[in-house]
Amino acid sequence: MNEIENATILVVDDDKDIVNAISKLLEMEGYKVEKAYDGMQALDCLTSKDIQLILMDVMMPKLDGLSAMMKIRTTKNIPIIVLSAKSEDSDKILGLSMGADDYVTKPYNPMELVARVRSNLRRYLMLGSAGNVSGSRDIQNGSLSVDKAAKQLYIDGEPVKLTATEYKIVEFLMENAGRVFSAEEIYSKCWKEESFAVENTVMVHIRHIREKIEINPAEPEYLKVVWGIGYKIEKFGR
Amino acid sequence: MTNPLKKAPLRAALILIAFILATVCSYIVVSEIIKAEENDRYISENCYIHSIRYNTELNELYQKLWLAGNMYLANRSGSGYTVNERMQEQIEQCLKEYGVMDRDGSISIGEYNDLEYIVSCNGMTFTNTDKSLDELSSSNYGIWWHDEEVSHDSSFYEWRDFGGYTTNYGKTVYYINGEAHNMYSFDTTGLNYYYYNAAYETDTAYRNYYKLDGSTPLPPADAGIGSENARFFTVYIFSYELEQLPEVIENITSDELYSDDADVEIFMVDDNYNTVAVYDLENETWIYAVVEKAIPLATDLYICIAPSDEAAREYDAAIARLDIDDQQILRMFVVAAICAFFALLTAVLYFVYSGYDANAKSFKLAAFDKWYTEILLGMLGLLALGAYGYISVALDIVPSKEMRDIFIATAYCAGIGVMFVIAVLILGCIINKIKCRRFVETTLIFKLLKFCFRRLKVCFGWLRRGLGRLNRYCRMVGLMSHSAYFKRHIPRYIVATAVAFIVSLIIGTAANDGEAFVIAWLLLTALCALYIHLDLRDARAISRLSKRIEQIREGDYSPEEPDIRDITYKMQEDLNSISSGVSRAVDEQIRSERMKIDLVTNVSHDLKTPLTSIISYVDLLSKEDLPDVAMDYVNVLVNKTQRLKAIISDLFDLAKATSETDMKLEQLDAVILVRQVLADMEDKINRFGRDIRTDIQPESVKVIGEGKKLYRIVQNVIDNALKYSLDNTRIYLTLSQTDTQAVITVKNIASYEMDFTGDEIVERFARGDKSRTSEGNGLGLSIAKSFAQACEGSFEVRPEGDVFTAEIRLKKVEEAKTSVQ
Repeated sequence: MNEIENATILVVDDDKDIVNAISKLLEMEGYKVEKAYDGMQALDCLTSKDIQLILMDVMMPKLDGLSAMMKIRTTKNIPIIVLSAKSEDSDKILGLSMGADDYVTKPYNPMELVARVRSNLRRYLMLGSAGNVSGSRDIQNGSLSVDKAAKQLYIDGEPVKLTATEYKIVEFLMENAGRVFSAEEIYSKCWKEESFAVENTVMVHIRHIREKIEINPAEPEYLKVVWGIGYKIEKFGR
Repeated sequence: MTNPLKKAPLRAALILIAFILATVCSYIVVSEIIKAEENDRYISENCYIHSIRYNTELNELYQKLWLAGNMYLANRSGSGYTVNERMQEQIEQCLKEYGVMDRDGSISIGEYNDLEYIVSCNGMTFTNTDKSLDELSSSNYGIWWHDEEVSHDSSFYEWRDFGGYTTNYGKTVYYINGEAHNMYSFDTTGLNYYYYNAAYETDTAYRNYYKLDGSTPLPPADAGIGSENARFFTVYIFSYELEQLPEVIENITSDELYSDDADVEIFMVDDNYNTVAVYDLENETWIYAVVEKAIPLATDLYICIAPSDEAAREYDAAIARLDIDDQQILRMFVVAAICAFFALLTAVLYFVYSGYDANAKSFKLAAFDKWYTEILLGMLGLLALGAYGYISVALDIVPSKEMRDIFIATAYCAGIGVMFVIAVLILGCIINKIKCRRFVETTLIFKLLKFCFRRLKVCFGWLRRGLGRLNRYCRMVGLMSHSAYFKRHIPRYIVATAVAFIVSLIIGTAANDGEAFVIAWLLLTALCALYIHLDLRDARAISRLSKRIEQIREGDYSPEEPDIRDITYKMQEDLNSISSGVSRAVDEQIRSERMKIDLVTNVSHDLKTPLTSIISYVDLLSKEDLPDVAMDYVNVLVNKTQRLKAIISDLFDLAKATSETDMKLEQLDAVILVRQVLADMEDKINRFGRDIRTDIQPESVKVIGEGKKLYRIVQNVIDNALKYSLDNTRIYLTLSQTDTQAVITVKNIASYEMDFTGDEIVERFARGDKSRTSEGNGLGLSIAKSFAQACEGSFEVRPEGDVFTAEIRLKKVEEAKTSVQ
């Protein structure tokens, strides 16, 4: 845990106020912060300092965020969170495919930003040496893993408290990650009862689960509603 | 009372009766035939007149009497011959050969006890009876002969050929039983024979003998034939070996005749087939010596033969007895006929009631009735054939001893009865088919035809579809003919052609010349054709123009180079300029639209950056240890920055929706969508304390749209209803469907007076309450509308009094249409 607490984070943005605000925010959480105001500075900083995570803007003078990220990716494997005003799906996909670990849109929610930083750090520092977080993981999907025997869900190795029904839903959807199920199907699988007008029941559970596993429940990463069809857990590669 | 015959067992009894009757009938017939045959045999065995001996003796006697009459009596007078010695010798030799003359030269007819005869000629008579010629010839049986005429009863007497003639040069020909005998009254030594057949078929009659030295007696002068005339007669050339018929050479002179072939003989024959001349091949000369003129044999010869009185009596008695027997047989045949009649009657009765089902109270097809009619008819035919064979074979053996055995006869007759019954049963089946009106149906031919017909129907189906296609094509042509072009031009063509015809007719009449008419008509028709051709060219140009306009309407503004010769040249030019103008305008509009979106995007980006700082620092500020008053201010800042953030996000979404880029239309279920949104918003609904009453009729409505956008539409509408509804009222959500659309309606009672129209409220930044104090930003409904339009649906708001109605129409997945295509 100390490792995470003491991590050094590089914040890169051409707006100094934003850099300062983020630095302040992160320092309050106990992280060490290095600042850079363009891509070149970020690259310099990386060579001289031991950095565990980078928060980087896209639109910057000298060297933009994406180019800098590509350069960093040639040598380093540390998590990079892109921080951008561009909120379109295509921008996000571009950023993630260029090597970003996460994508946060401006204006960001400070709480969310911190949560994402922590999540990424944990994933990088702890799952990087996944061996010590042993125990049986029957289903693994991105940061989520399920221990069927213990009926326990883990996010980045941290157990999440779920009710029995919530766990059943998660396990069912995890087993069929990527597949969309209607509320009826989920209900009949997890409640083992005849289903009738169960949209509300299932939705309430889904929302509760989301609040527990998602950093931003309004924009879920894992447990998604497929509008007009049903629900699914997004399938991630390892 | 029901008819007993309607029951099957009684019908079986009927069949049994028919069998017995048929058997009895045939037994009577057979036994009577046997009786008749026996009578016949009795007569032929016991009556002389009916016997073979009678026939033989009659023939023999007739031949003897004919020879005795024609050869002996005819050539004698008193005690001596009237012919010369040579002839006499030959006659006696012939008579001896036939056994009519003894060695000593007296005539012996022989013993015929049962026959009486008289032969008389030249007043002389041979007879073995006391009866006169008239008495004998009046007998019921027997024969007589006179002057080459014979009365004879063909049943008793086998007629053979008897006859003859005498030539005028001393030759007499007798033909007896087909054999001919030539007798000459002169010396026949050194005679050469010549083949000549003009009248008789027998071998011996072919041969005629002539003296080639010319000493054969010449015809008498009164014969009218002289050697000088011979050249004009018909000449026959004969070939022995080839036995060909004579080759006829008409009107030929003797000088022209020649022959190198020894086998060929040459005759001259006159019109009466009398030989006139014979050609001597050795000396190569004609011998005008021979004439054969046939003179009939003795004309006063009478021959009469009759059976003896005793034989005749015996025969008459036998015949009389037979007549009685015949009557008896006839009577029995009547009995048999009655039996047959009743047998047929029972059969008819059976036919009437066969196949009646007592349970069903109607005629039914039973086991064999269901067989194909052809099979039944075939069986009937085979039975008829079999019966024919059976009866004819049996008739052959009827006279035999076996048939006279009563058991064999009965068995045979029972066989006929069985065949009769089988025929009745088969006919019954067929008749039952007719009664059940299934006769045609159950024929094999019908089945086959039906099968073929079904096949044909399939073919007809193809044909009909083909015709349908043709019909469509015709309709298309018909539609074309309704088009303005055809309506306008076809009458013109008709009028032009008619005018051409009439004018040429007038010209032709005026010139009073058919050619002028034709020429004028051809010229004018050619003119018409030219006119039509030019007209068609213009029509094509017009149709091109119309197509061009259609293209422009479809959005294809690319210019086309017009042909200056076209009637539409100017129009096309103008159209090009119009379309380029439109094209420019459209491009301009698209560009400005894009600029607007870019502007909104850039602005929202530019807004976001400072907002990010504000949010960050407000957040940091809220974490500082501040006085309560300051903290309140910070909280206000937090709320407002959040709202600003939401507005910017909405604005951005709205701009994006209008530009309609990156749309991912998919199929989803509107019912599930609505339920999901309601479930998703449950917290918020509870927070506002509003009841949402839903009325979702269909179980599932598949619509087209992008999930997230549809979610936003429904969410915004419900959100709007929550925010602006009066306290303690309910919100009504209904989901229904039309043929093409899913309709989601949300109704609520407004908490304020609605003084706006539906169109106004969906304008951007429009809000019902003018104060703009509540939490909305005025973009919700316009986002809903933009998104609905982007998803090929529509969104409409209807304020009616205090009732606010929002209606979302979404496009349904057109399953039927896709399946048709």
